Amino acid sequence: MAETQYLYIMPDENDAKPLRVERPAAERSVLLKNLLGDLGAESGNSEISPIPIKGINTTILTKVMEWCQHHSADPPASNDDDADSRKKTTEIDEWDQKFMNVDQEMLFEIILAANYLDIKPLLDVGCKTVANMIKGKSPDEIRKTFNIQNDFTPEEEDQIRRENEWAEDR
Amino acid sequence: MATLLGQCHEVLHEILSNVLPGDLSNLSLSCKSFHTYIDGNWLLWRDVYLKNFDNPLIASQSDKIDWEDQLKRITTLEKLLKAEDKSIGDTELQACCETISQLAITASLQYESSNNVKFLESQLSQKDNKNLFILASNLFDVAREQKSTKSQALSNALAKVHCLYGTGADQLRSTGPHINKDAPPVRAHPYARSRVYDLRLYTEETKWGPWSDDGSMAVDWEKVECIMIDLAFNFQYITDRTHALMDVPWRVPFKGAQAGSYVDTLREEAPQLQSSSQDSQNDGLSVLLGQPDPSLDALDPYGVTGNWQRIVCFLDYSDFYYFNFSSVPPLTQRRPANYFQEAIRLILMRLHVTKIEKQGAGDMPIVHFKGTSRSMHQGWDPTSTSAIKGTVQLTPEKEVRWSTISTFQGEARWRSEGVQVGGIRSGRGVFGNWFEKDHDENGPAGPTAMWKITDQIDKNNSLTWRRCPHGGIQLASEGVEIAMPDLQSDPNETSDDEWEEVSESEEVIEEEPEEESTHSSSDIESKASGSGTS
Repeated sequence: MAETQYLYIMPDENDAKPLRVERPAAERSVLLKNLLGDLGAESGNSEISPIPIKGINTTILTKVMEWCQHHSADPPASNDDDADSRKKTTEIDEWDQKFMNVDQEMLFEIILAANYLDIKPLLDVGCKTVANMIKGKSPDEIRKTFNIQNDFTPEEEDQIRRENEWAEDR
Repeated sequence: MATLLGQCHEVLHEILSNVLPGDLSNLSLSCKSFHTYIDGNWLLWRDVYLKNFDNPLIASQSDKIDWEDQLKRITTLEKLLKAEDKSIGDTELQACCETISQLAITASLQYESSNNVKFLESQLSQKDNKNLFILASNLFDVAREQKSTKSQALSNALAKVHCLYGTGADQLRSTGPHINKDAPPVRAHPYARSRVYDLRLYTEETKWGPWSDDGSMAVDWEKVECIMIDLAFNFQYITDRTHALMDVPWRVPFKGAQAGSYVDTLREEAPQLQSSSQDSQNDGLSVLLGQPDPSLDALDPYGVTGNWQRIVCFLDYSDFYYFNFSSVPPLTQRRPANYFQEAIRLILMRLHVTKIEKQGAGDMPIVHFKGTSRSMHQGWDPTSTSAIKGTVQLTPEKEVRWSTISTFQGEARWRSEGVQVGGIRSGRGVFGNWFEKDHDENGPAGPTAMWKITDQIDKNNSLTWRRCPHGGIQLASEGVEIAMPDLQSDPNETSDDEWEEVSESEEVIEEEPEEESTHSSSDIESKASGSGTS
C-alpha cells in the first residue's frame, strides 16, 4: 500500500502555523491540484515548501480541510454542465448538513474559501445551505435572517409589490 | 465580514439558483440590491426553472423561451392549486390552463422522472383541482346539470387539459365501482356520446373532423374530449365484460402527451417478429404490398410506417338516425344525453409511407400513406380486411392532422379526420371522427382513435394481443389462439350484481341483451353502407 503523502499549506494570519494535509484531500481543491501539477511535484516528493493561501485564516482553512479530508475519496466531479444532467436535487447529505451547521459568518467564509480554492462540491453544499435559509421566507424574514436593511422608499416598495403579484399567496 | 450580499455575483447566482420561484419574488422585495440583481436576470430565471422543471427547449418548436415569464405563470398556477379558495376569474383560469398544457407537452420523455408530471400529478390528483381543471369543460357543466357560464375559449382550454391528462380521472362505468375512489361521480359519457353522434357538428367548416367551426382548422378540444371519453367508456365496457386483450394509451396522466413520446414496445417484447417477417418475404402479402421504401421512412417526420391500433365506435344506424332526425333543436342547443348502446370495433392497421410532399404547413411535409386495416374481431366479420390510405400534415397551429380513406372491395367508403394529441410521434395517438366518404348528410358518423404500436411491418398478418401467463397483456406474433373476442359476456366475469352501487336509469338502456348487441354490431357494415334498413 502506497504511503500517504502530505503537504503543508499556510493560512493567511499573523504567526500562523502551516497545516499538514493529506495530498488527496488537498487535491479536492482544483487550485491546489493544478498548483501541485505546475510545481512538478511528483508523487513521493515531500519536499514542497508550505503553500501560502491568501485571505483564508487558520480556523476557516482547518474547517475547509476537514471537509476535504472527509470527501477525499469521493469520485471526481464531472464537468458535465449540461442543462439536462444538472443536479436537480437540493438535498444535502447528513454529514454535510452537520458540517454546515455553523454561524452565518463562518458559513459565508467557507463559501468564499471554497470559491477561491475552487472546490465545487463544497461550494454547492454551501450555496444550497444558504438557499435553504431563504426558502419560504417573507421579505421581512429574509431581511432579519441576513441582516439586510430595507432601503426601498414606500413608493418603490409599493411598485415592486405590484410587479410581484404573480407570487402572492391566494 | 462575509455576508449574503457581500458574495460575488458568481456565488450569488449559485445560491439563488437553488431557491424556489416564489422565493425570488420575496428576495426582490427585501432590498434594492436583490431587486436589481434578480430583475431581468434571465440566466438566473432559467437556472431556477431547470432546477424545478423539465427542459422545455427539448420539446419546444422554438428555441426562445421567456424563462422569467414561464416561471411566474407556473408560480401563479401553483398558488391556485394549493389555495383553499379556488375562486378565480375566467381569464386567469384560462391562463392557468395554458400553463398546465405547456408543462404537459414539454414534460420529459422519461415519464417516471419527469419533474413536470410530478408537479402536475401531485396537485391535480386532488379532488378540488380535478374538478377545477380536468372535469371542467362545458361538457361537465352540462353533465352536472349546472348552467355553464364558461366562454368557449375557456372551455376549450379546459378540455385540452383533460385531453392531455387522459381518462385517469373519469368515471367510465355507468354502474359499478368507481375506477378512482376519489373521482367525483360525474358521468359525462352520455353527454359526450350525444356530441360525437350529433351530425349537426359535422360541417364543411369543421371538415367533419375535430376542428373548430370557424374554418381555421384550430383544434376543437371539446370535441376531442368527447371522443376520448366516449371511446374510453366503450373500451371500459367491453373490458369489463370480456377478455379484451388490449390496453389503451390514454389512461396514465399526461403519459404519451408529448411529441416523440411514442415507444415501440414490441421491439423489446417480441424481437422474433422482425426475424419472422424477414424470413417470409415471399409470402403473398409482401408481394402485394411491396417493400416499404426505407428512404421515404427516413424522410417522414411523423413516424407513419408500422402497425397501428385503431378503435372505431358506432351506433346502430336506426338509433343513429332516430337520434339525429326525430327532432332537430336549434344549433345553439345541445342535444340531450344519448343513452343508446354503441358498438366497438378494434382494428389493426399496417401503414407505410408512399409519398412525401415538401410543401406542408409550418415547413413540414405532407406525408401520404397506404396500408391495410384488419378487424380483430375475427369470426363474424366478413369484411375484416380493407385497404386504407391517407395523409398526415400540420395544421396552421402546428397540430398534427391525420386524414384517412378506407376502401372496401375496391370502393372508397369511409373517411376520417383526427388530431394527434401531444404532437408529432406522440404515444397518445390520434383522436378524431369517421364519416361517410362523400359527407352524406344522413350520416353515419362517429368517433375513432388510433395509436402506433410498433415500427415493424407485420407482413404475416400474425400480430395479435396475448394474455401473459403472469398477467398483463402483450403483443405476440404467432401461435396465439386468442385474438380479440367478440362482445359477448363471459359468464365467469364479475357480474353486475356484485357491484354495490345503485344503477342509474341509463343502465337499463345500455345493458341490452347480449345477443341483440352482438347482432346490431355485426350488422353495422350493411346498415352503415347506406341501405339504412335492418
